[in-house]
Amino acid sequence: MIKRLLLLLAFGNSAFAQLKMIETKDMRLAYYDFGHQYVFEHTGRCFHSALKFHKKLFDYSPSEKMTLLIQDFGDYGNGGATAVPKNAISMGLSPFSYTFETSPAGERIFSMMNHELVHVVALDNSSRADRFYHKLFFGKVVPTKENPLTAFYSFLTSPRRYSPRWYHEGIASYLETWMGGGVGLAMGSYDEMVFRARVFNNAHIYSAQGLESEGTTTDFQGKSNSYLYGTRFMGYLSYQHGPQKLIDWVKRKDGSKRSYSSQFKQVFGSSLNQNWSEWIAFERGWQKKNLDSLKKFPLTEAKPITDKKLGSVSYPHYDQKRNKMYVAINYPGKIPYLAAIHLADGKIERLTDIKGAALFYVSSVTYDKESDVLFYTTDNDAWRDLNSYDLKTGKTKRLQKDFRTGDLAFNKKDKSIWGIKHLSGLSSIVRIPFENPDDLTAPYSSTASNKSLLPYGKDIFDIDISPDGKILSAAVSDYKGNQSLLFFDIDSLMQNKIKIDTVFNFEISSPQSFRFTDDGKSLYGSSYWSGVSNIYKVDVLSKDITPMSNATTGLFRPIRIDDEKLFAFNFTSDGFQPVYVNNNKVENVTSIQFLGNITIARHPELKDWELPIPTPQEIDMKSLITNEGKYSPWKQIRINSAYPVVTGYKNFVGVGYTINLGDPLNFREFEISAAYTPTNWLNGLANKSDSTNLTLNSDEQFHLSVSGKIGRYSFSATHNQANFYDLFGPTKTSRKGTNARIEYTKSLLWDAPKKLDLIVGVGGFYGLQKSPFFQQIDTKGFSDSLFVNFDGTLAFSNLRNSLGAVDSEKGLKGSFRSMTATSNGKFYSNILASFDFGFQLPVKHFSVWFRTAAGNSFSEALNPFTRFGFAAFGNNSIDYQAARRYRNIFSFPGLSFIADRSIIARTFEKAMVEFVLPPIRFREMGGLNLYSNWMQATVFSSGLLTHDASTMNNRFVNVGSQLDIKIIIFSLLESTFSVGYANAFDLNENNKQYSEWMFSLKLLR
Amino acid sequence: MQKSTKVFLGLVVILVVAITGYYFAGGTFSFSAEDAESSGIGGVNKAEKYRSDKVAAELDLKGSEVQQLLQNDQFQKMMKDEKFRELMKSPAFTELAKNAQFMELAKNPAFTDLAKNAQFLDLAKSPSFTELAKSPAFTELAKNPQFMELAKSPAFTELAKSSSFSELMKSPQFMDLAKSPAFAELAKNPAMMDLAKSNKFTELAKNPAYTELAKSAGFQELAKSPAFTALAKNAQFLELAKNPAFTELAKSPAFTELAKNAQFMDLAKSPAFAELAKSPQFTELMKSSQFMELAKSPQFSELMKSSQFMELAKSSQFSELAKNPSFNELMKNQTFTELMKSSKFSDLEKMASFE
Repeated sequence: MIKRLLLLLAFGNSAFAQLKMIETKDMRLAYYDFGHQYVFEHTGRCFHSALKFHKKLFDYSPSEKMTLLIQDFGDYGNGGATAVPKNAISMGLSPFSYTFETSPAGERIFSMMNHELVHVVALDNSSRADRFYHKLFFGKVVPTKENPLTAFYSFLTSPRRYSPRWYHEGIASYLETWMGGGVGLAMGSYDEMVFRARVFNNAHIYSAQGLESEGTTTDFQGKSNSYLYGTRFMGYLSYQHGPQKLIDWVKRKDGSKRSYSSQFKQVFGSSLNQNWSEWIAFERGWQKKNLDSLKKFPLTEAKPITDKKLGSVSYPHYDQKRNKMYVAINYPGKIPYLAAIHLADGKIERLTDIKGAALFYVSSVTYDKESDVLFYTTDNDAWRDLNSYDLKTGKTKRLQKDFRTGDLAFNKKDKSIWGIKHLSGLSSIVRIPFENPDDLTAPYSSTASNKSLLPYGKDIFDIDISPDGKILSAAVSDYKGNQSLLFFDIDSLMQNKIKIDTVFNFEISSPQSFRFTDDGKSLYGSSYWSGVSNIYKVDVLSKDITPMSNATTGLFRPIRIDDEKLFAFNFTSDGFQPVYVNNNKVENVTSIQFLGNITIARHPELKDWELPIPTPQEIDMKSLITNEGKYSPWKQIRINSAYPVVTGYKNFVGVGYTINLGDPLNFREFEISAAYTPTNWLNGLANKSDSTNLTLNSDEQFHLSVSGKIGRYSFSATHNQANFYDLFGPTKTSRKGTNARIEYTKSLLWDAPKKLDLIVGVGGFYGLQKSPFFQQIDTKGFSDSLFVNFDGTLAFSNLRNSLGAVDSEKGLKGSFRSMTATSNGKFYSNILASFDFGFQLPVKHFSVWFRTAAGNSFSEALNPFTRFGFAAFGNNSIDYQAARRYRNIFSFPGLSFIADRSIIARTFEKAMVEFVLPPIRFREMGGLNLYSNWMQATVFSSGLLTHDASTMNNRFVNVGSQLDIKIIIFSLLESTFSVGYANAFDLNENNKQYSEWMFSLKLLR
Repeated sequence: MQKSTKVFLGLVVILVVAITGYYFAGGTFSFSAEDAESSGIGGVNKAEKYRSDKVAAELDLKGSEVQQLLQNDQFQKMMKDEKFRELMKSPAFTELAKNAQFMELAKNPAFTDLAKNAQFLDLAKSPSFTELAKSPAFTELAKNPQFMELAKSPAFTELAKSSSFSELMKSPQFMDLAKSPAFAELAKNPAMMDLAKSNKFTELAKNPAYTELAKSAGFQELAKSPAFTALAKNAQFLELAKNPAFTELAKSPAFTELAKNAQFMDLAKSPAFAELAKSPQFTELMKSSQFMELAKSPQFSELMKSSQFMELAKSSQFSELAKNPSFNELMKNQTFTELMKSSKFSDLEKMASFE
C-alpha cells in the first residue's frame, strides 16, 4: 500500500510535492493538504501515546525516527506501515467502511496509530544479531529483483518481515482491539459470523499455509481473510495461553528466533501448525455451541432464489414491473459487475462491469424507477465517480468524476440524488440536483451541494429517502463506537439546517441498510443487536422496532417484496446468497457468545492494554515538536543500505558493491553500483555460441552504474553495463561501452486501471559493440561512434481482472514509440506500435488475448539503432523480468538464441493469439516457509512477417505453451518457475521447424 | 508566485471559509449517537460484548472549523482551478489560516453568506482587496450584516477592486460608516460605486464629516443620481464635502432634490461654488425650497460661475434676499442674471441698509 501511495506522491498531483512537516524526537509527521491540518496534533498525540505503549509492551527501541504521512487518497480510511528500509506509516484519513460491520466504528486515527505501530514494532524490533547486520549493510535492506542476494541480506537485517500477512495483521488487529477498550476485530460480529458460517456450511477452514496460498486469493473476502484468520488465531492463542505469550511470540529480542514459526515453537512449546489445527478444532466446537444456542427459538428459513453465491453484494433495488433485483456483485473469477437477479428463475444477468469495485460493498447503487436508470459508483477504493446505467438502452455514462460520494439515495420527489461525501476525513450529506442550471443537457452534472457536514468523530452511512421526500434515514456513528438510526428532516437540510429525529441507539451494533418501504410507513434493515445479523422493521411513526428474523449465519440488506415475503441476502461461507424470508415478526431471538468476551473474562490483564484517547493535557505536542517546516526530500536523503553484489558480464563473473540512497518517502531514490570482473573468472554456466562474449579486454573489467529518480525524471548511466542474470543466460543485457539516459514520464491519464503515460527520453551511447536492445545484432565498426538517441512513447493500458485472478483477464493495452538516433550528422529513425486486447471466456479465470505489433526502421543502413531482432522465449534460466516474456514484441519462442537462424528486420508485423487457462490453486503444497500456491498454463501461437532489403524477408509462425508455477519463500519472496516449449516454422524455407525448451526461475516479484 | 497572488490566495481562503461558515451556521451537527435512548428490542436478547466503561475524552481538534469552509460547494468548485490550488499551497495561505482574526471572520455566518456571492468571489481575486481583507478593521466590518448585504452587489465588487478603495477601507471612520444600513443601500447604486473608485473620493470618505453625512437618508437618496456621481469626482467638490457646513447642508431633502438637477451639478463642480458652499450662510440659504428652485435654473448656474456673485452669495443679506420668491423669479430673468454678474451690482448688494 505504501509503495502505491508513494508512487502517487511522486508522480501524481504536484501539490503533493510540497509536504509540510513537524518533527519530534520520535516522529516526522508530513502532510500535503491544508485541510488535513486539523488532525495534525491529534495524530501526533495518538502516535506518541501508542509508541509509548508499544515500547513498554514489546521492550522496543526504535532504530530510527518514524515518518508518518497523512493522506486522503481514498474515500475509505486505510493505513499502511513498513520498517524496511525506513520506518514509515501512511494514514488514510477517510472514514472507514462499516459495510456488514467489517470495520468497527470508533476513533480511527487513534485505532490506526495503535494498529500501524504494531506493524512497525514487529518489523523494526531487533536482536543484537539484527543490529550487527544493520551496521554491516548500513541499514535494513530491501530485496530487489535486480540483485537477488538482497533477499538474503534483507532476511538478515529484518527477519520478521518474512512472516505471513495473517501474522502481522492478526497481532495488530488483536492489540488494536484491546488498546481500544474492546473496539476491534477481536470483538467483531462479522468475524464471529464468518467462522460460524464456515462451520454451519461445513466449509473448509484454511490451515496457516492454505490461508496464504488459497484463502486470500480464491475466497470472496480476498486479502481480508488475513485479518479475519489472523485475529481469530491470535484470539484463540490468547484465550488458551494468555496474552503475554502472544507478545513473547511477536517480540524480536536477544534470544528470540529469526523465523516467526521457530519463535512460535520456542514460546508455545509446540509447532504453529499443530496449534493452528487445535484452533480449528476449538473453533468448530465454539461455533457449534453458538449454533445450538440459536436453535433455542425457531430459526428463520432462508429460501434461496438461486443456488449461486454472489460473493459480496451492494444494496439491491427492486424492479417490480420486471420482477428483477438490481445489485452490484463481486466474486472470484468474474470482473465485478452490475447485475439483474431474475426473481422468477434465479438467473443472474450481467448488465455492465464496475470499474474499481470495493471488496465488500462493491458499489453504491441507487435506482430511479420512473426513468429506468440505475446510478452507481466506480473507483470505490479510490475517489469515487458517479455513473448511470440506462436499463432501456443498456448504455452507461459517467456523470461525475472523483465526486467522492457514496451511500447513494434517490429522492423520487425531485429526482435528486443524495449521498455521503468523504473529504479530508469528514462525512457530509450532499445533494446532487437533477438539473444543472449551467448545462441543461447534462443531468446530475452540477457540483453536489453540501447540506450538512458532520464533525470529525461522527460518520454517517446507509442513507435512504422516504417516498414522500421528507425524511432522510441514516446510520450515524460517533468516535466512542455508538451507532444510531436517525431521521433527518429534508426540508431543514435544504436550508442547511439540521433537524434530527432519533429512531434507536443500536449502541455498538451498527444499523445496516435500513430502507423505506414503498408506502413510506416502515423501514427494513439489519443489525447485529443479538450478535447475529437479523432483519428488523421500524415503524416510521411510532419508531417501534420489530425483529423479523432469527437467522443462523446472518441476513442482510432486506427489501419488502409483499406482505408475505422479504428479499434478503443470506451469508454463507462462499458469500451472500439471494433468499426470500417470511415477512413475519419473530417472537424471540437469542444471542450468541463472543470469543473476545470469554477471553477478557479469563485474562483480565487485557484490560491493562487499554489506552485512553490522548488529550492535550496528557501529551502536549507543542512541547514535543523540535522542528516545523517543509519536508525537503533532498535534506532527508540518507544511505538506506549498502551491500556486496555479484555481477555477470559477457561470459564472466564479477563482484561489486551497491549503495542505495533515498529519503524516507522515496521522493528521491539513487543507486550507485561499482563492480570489477577479473579476466580469468569465467562463467561455466554460459553458453559459448556467441564469440563476442568469450573475450574480456582490460578496458571492460570495470563496471559502473548510477541511476536515480527525482519526481517525474529518472536517469541512468552505465559503463560496461553488467547484470547478475547474465550469469545464467541465454538473454544477455551486459554491454560494452558507455551510455547515459534521462527520461521524463508524465501520466496523461490516471483513472485506474486506465492509464496513459507519455515517456520522453534522451540517451547517449559510446563504444557500442552490439545493439543496446538486441543481443543478436552485432554492430562491429561503431565502437568509436557516439550515438545520441531521442525517443518518445505513448503507452496506454486498461487491464482488469477478477478476485482470485493471477493475470489480467480482459482489457486493452497499446503503445506507440518513435525513436531517432543520430551519429556523425546522420539520423536514423524508427517507429514501433503495439496493440493487445483480451476478454474473459465463460469459464472462470479463462481468457483469450490478441496481441499485435508492427515496426519500421526508416534507414537501410545497418547500425545499432536501425534493426529489430526476434528470438526465443526470452527468459533466462534464473531471471528477474516478467515470467511470460513470450508476450514481448521481440520474443519469438521456438527460435532460440542459439538456433542457426536469426530474424533481423527493418520492418515487421506480428500477431499472436493466446489462451490463458484458469489457474490451478494449491491449498497445501509445501511448508510454511516454502510452498507453491498456484500454477497456470497458457497456449499461444503467433505469426511474424519481416522485411529487410539488406538481409532477407521472413515469414515465420510458431505455436507454444508455457506453464508457470508460483513459489513463495519465507512468506514474502515470490518466485515463478516457468517451463515452456515452442515450435517455430520458417514458411519461406518449406516450413523448416525450430524448437525451443525454456526453463526459468524468476526470482522475486 | 507574487506576493499579491499569495494574498489573493488568502482572500480566496477567506471566501471559502465564509461560504462554509454560513452554510453550517444553521446546520451544526451536534447530535451524539450516545445521546439517543437505547431501550432494547422486544423479544431480542442483546449480545453481550465487552466494552470498556472508561469514558472517552472529547476529541481536541484545532482548526476543524475551517472544514466548514473547505468543504463548501463553492470552495470545492474553486479547488478545481489549478491556480487556486497553487494559492492554497502557498505559505501566505497557511499564515492567513493561522490568523486568529481570519478564523474569527470565517466563523461569521454573514461573511459566509457573502462569500457565496459570485461577484464577491470575483472581487476576491483583486490583490488590493486581498490586502484589505487582512486588516483587523475589515474583519470587524465583515461582522456587520449590512455590510455583508452591500458586498454582494456587483457594483460594490467593481468598486472594491480599486486600490484607492482598499486604502479607504482601512480608515476607522469609513469602517464605522460602512456598517450603517444606509450605506449599504447607497452602495447598491452603480453610479455611487463608480464614484467611489476615484482617489479623491477616497480621501473624502475618510473625513469624519463625510462619514456623518453619508449616514443621512437624504444623502443616500442624493447619491444615487448619476449627476451626483459625476459631481463627486470633481476635486473641488470633494474638497467642499469635507466641510462640516456642507455636510450639514447635504443632509437636507431640499439639497437632495437640488442635486438631481444637471445644471446644479455642473455648477457644483466649480472652485467658486466649493468656496461658497463652505459659508454657513450659504448653507442656510440652500436649505430654502425657493433657493433650491432657483438653483436648478440654467441662469443661476451661469451666474454662479461669476466670482463676484460668489462673493456676494456668501453674505447674510443675500441669503435673506434669495429666500424671497420674487427675487427668485427675478433671478430667472436673463438680463438680471447678466446684471448680477457685474461688479457694480455686487457692490450694491453689499449695502445692507439699502432696504
